[in-house]
Amino acid sequence: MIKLILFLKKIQFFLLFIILESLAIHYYANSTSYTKVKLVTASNYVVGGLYAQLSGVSSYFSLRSENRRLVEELARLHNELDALRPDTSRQETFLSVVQDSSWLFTPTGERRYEYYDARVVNNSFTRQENYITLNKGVRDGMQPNMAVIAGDGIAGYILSCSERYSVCMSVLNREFNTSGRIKGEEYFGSIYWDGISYEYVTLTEIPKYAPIEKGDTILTTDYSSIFPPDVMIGTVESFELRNATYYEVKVKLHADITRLNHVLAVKYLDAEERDALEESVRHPESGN
Amino acid sequence: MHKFLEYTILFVALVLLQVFLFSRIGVSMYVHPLVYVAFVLLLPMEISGSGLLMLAALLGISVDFFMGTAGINTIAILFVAFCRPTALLLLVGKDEVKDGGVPNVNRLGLKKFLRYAGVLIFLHSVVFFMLETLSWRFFYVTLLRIVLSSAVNLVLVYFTQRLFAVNRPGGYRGTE
Repeated sequence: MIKLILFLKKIQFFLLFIILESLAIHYYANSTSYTKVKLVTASNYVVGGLYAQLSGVSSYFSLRSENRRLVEELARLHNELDALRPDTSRQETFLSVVQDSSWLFTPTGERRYEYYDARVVNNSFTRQENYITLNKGVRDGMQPNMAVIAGDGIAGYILSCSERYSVCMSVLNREFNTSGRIKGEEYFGSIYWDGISYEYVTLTEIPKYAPIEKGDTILTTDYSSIFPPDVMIGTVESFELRNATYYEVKVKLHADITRLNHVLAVKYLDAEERDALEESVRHPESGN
Repeated sequence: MHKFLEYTILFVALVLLQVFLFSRIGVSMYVHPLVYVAFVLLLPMEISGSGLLMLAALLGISVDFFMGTAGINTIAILFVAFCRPTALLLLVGKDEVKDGGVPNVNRLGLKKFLRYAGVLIFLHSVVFFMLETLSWRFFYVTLLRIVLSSAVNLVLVYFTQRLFAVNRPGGYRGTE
């Protein structure tokens, strides 16, 4: 017995290491992306205020470029509105056009998307699993599965919300997945990040007979219940034929994820209905 | 535990720097220095094995919590703590370890310190980035991340130990 105790004492360092390390590995191995997001949400609860302060300071340095970008976007939206209402709106002021924003509605007069502005208070991009934290949460009307758009390019979507903050899956996350199509064509494929460069994502499964060229615009599709259709993802940088069957396209992201500041969060108002319907078809027995 | 306060400050400062600075700046995809490892490197040589492991676990859990990484930092830093006594024996020498003290440049000399810190920082990065990628597909990219991050981190750890040693130019020995 004494020998055993002496032996244990001798190897206690090793033993303790094994115990602690297995606990850590156990926790890591059992962590799903759901628990990871819960962890980020919990840590934001503690340090969110501090992050907000920090990003408040750093956002001063980008005010100039941010303003320019906003004016550009305003001009673009102005043009788009004019194009949409060619005969009546010429003489109207900008304000009245905004108030009568019928283009946000479906033909039956229902609204489909709701836009919220938010500020990015924390944003990682050096890891393989990157998340974005926004300064708005449940009490501001945020909810999971809202699209996050920076400028006019996709940046991610909301995963989880606390009272005052939201954590988003960044485009730069290996678990990010959505569909994208070539502008002007019907061909589409899936978009994912390979974890290498924060400027590029990959568009894969584009059929080999799709006409594709460097510089082509890649947009979101109608198939996503998160992203509104026709939002810019990026432009084609290069492409390669894989297995002689499909193209793998390197897409340069339109949004600069490393310099996010003000973003739009978009709520797809039909998402719940659509998801429930699609789910009930896929698993008819659980739908009842 | 006369250096308790100093180490507490070092702990807090390194965690804050890691979470709010080095994990946020993103100089490049390839450079993500994990500077908090300096805490484990700079613990006194006469610390007990279990003390070393417990402090390393505490450090790892703190960083994991604030960075939102589910355990990778803890796994990596525990491994470093486990390797530390062996690294000290092999790379620094039995006699120096017996004398105790803080394993910094003043105590070990530049060459030995860089060797000791370099090896442990490298091991730490290997575990961290391998776990983060969890795939052999981008082996060379991961290798590049490991090498570049370790190199930058070694420089940062060098400055950390200089700042930490600033109030005792002669280098202190734990027994004094």
